[in-house]
Amino acid sequence: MRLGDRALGVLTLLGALALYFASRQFSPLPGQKYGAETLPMVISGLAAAVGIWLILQGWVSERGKPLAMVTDWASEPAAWGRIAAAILLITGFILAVDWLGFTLSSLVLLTALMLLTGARPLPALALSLVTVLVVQFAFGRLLLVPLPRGEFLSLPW
Amino acid sequence: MSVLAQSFAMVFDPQVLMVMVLSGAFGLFVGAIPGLTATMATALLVPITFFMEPIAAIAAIVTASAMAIFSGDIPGALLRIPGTPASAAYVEDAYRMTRDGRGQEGLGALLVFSVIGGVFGTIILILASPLLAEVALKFSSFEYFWLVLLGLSAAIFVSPGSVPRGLVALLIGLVAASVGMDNPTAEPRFTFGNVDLLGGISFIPAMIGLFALAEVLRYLVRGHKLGAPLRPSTKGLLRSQIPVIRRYPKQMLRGNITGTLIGALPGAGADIAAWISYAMSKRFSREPEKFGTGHVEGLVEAGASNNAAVSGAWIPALVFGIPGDSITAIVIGVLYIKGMNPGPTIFINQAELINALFIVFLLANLLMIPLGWLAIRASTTILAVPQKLLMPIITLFCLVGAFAITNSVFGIILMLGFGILGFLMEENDIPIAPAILGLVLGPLLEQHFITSMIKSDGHLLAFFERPIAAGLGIFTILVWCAPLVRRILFRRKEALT
Repeated sequence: MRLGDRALGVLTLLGALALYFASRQFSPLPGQKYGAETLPMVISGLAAAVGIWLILQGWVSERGKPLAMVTDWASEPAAWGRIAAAILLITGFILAVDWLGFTLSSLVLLTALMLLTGARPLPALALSLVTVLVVQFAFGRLLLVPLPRGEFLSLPW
Repeated sequence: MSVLAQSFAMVFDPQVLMVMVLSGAFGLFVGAIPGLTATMATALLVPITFFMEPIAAIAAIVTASAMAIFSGDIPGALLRIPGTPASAAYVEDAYRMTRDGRGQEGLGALLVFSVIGGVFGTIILILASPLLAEVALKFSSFEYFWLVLLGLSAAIFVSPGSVPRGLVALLIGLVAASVGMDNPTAEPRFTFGNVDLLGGISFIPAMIGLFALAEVLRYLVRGHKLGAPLRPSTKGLLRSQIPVIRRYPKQMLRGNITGTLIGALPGAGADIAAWISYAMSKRFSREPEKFGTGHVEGLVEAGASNNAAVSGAWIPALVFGIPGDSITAIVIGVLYIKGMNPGPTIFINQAELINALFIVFLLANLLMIPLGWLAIRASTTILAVPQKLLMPIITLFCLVGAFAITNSVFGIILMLGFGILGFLMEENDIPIAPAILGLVLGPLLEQHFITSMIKSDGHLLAFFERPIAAGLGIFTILVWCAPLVRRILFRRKEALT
């Protein structure tokens, strides 16, 4: 879905309004004119101007056209399925990594993503295993990044 | 023995040379891994330098940091994962070049112009340190405010296509930059009660999400229609740059000068230098429409600029002991540990050490040619992996890179959020680069504005009262008005004809 100038302009304008009302709760520095509210207020003013600019530009150049256009992939349910699956897999990784540990959860994630992109199961599993072990060694051992070890299996990784 | 001969003898000691090669390889390795920065490479080396002689210690740090800044460009060009905010300025061009089968030209340009920028910055460091440092000290919050604003104005020039859509991207970045407690009154802004957001949005996870994860998501919906990036050949990598140098000498020189000057300003650094140089390159180019589509001109100017800035940052560090960026902040500590006290007297009392340091600088930048070539050769093998296997591997690198910055899952959550945002932005022709610019420069803008206002008791005209500030202010306003004036002149000309 690609938003036209008018639709994007209205969205920007709404964002500007939301930002304006959200920034009113912040206060200036004691004894000063400016403070925590200054930057968000300036951004909201700019956003309002850009929103109006987009609406006017769309008014002139997009007359008679729809507010948004459907892009080529958006009509394929499989594409929507793939992107949703990828986002869900990463969300699952975020939720599981502390419990399962980095090695196991990234192995599951990587294999699942490779199956999603159309790789065959056995090579996907083999390559995932090698990649995860290399990453685990490079980041965890060499660069001392404290990758989660996991409560599930406290194996020596 | 003369002082210079003594310095040469110090540097060309086999132990120092070996330290340089090893730390160079280490810097390249750390810099090329998404999520790990040049600052991290330098910081990791500090404990090892305790056991070294002064020159070997400094050589290790100088070499590692210069290599890491360059190698941050490699994942940007190959996988669209910029290593540093500085390389984000031209990542789109570098990546498009790789996808179009011109990776050799792109990577070669990044290597060669990084070396040229580094050497130029070093020569200025040798010749004009005290003079430049004097000017740099005249920069106060008023001048920095204009400089940051000038950097933000680059958003208009770096965004290909529609100007208001580029501004929408900049606003998204600025809103993200205003999240957290790091504001004048330390009130939690837009944190929605989340403790992790109190510290603000770290730009590395955001950058990895906006560029790299968004690209993975795009591959998932578009698949083979995007076309796989071709593995660049490293044969003739350096020779391919001779015509580029001949074609863009002015751009190269401009990038070198801008980078060194901005780098010499404490706190400005390579990021602002690269963005301003890229914008300047596009603004003065004969083919501005090609920028963002895989054009080498921007790489020449901005690539040279960010490495020149790395050398430039040493100017205030050596002359006054004021760090120009986070790397020199670490370096000053090491200099003290090794008995080299930064300050004006270092040039007189420890002349042989300071000369040796300059030689190390030149050598480190020259060493970048063979080591960088090897790093490019090794890293391009990753493109031999088919896309359907490579994209999941990139995702794993994104996750680990984002994790490494915050050492918590929160980095990954940020990266995912920004990945989805980046995907939606690209689907709507909203460019990514200005959002990064807003995210990096937003906090600086606020800090310098509020500091200036406290100093001047809220008088806005104070921004024009100091000579350098007034000059920079007028220049910035002229930059804003230039497109409008040009359009009016063009219309008048058209009406006349």
